[in-house]
Amino acid sequence: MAAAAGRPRARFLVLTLVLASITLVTLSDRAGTARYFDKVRSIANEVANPVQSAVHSALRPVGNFIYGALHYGAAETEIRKLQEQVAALQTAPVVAAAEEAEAEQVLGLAHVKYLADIPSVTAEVVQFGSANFEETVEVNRGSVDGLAVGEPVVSAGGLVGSVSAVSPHLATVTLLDDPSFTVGVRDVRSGVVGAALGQGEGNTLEVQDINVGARVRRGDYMVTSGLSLEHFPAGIPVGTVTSVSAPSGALQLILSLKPFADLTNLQFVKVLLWSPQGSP
Amino acid sequence: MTKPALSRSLKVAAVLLVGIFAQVTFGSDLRVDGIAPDFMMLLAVCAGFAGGPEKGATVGFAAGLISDLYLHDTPVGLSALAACLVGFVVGWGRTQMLTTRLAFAPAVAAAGTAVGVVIFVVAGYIVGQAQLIAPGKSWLVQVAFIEAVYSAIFALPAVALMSWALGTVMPAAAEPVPGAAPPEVPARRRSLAARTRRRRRARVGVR
Repeated sequence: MAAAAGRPRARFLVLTLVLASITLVTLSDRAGTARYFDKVRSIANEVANPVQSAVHSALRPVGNFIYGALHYGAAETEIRKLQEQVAALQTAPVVAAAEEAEAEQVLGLAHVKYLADIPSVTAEVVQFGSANFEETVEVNRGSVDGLAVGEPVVSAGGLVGSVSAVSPHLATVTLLDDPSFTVGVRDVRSGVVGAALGQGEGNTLEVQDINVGARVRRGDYMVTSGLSLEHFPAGIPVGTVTSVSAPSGALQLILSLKPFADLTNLQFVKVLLWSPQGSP
Repeated sequence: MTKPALSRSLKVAAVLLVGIFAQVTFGSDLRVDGIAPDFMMLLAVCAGFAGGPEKGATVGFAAGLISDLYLHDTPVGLSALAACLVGFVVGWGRTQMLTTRLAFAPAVAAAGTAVGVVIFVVAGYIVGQAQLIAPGKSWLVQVAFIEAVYSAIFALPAVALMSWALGTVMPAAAEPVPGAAPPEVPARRRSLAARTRRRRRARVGVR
């Protein structure tokens, strides 16, 4: 009897909760009410931040100790390599100058200047996202430092992603390989323009909207296109074309793009204080 | 709200807070092949396992809602929907079992988590979150499998925590869920118990 009495109540409860969830999903996606949910999310992130920092600070020495003990041999090899690198650094300025010149030459082909005159804020990556269906990191700069949603984020290697949420002292950066991420790109050599889409962690980007017959080759460099209504300024290095294929009967090429930036090992990034509205 | 009910609610809130802080602090450090565990989904499954369908649905909804606050790409309410349904289904499944044993917890946690991941992705796709399926079916299977393995590993402490918070008897005690059929004692155990009773009576001279 208890079961007979309990089951309808449980069903009514779950139905109510499902309806509540669907209502929240709808409100959260609507332009007019989404900002309230963003605000709540931002507060939640701010609340968790001190705990995250404290736990990381407390666990880091333990993690380092265990890692050191387990990888003693590898650590020794690493030290030897580092010593060799220190020696090699004597010639680094010469090499760096050469690379810089080469990079300028590559970007010069596209008639763009990398980050010229765009103010930026340097931020440290404090947390990698723990969700499996989105690729994000958190950085230790927020709205008090001038950050806003939509601003491009770059590292030494090139484009990293864009700011997707901001709280006073933190910002969430959606990475280039996030499946919801799209950026307009231009082939430096041929000038062909397409759209690069993230395909999940560790996967190359997929470039679409390039017609069959376009002179794009494997090994070509791609930079942000900076076309009007784009969310990124022109000329930020994005990646190298790793494969070009044209399925029979298809009207468009399928390109894979390997990002220049090492997205799995980010420590410091630059947030460009740039918006499409404010651009010249 | 009565005092015991308030106490249970506070305990559940505390467990959920521990869960979310574990998720956002070192969840990403436990990534295997780029996939992190989902402690909040695990807690939803455990609430159903330890407390039945109503508590499973309610705690699952709360766990999912908290989880949603730390996501950015998907709308608030999507995880709540998935976790609520999983908590309810696991709780309902428990009422259909003749006996509930703690030994089942890892298997239930693994299956429940995998189902939760699928519900999350399918429901998300229905409401327009196409990016959830962009990496392909193999990625979804991989995520469901690795999250399920993680849930199986952490199932026992999670069930213990949730049982404590909900004030329910640990499933190891084979306490029947209200409304479920009474647990059946295997025939061999019945005969053993009867023999023990006969011996005791004989020892004290009872005829």
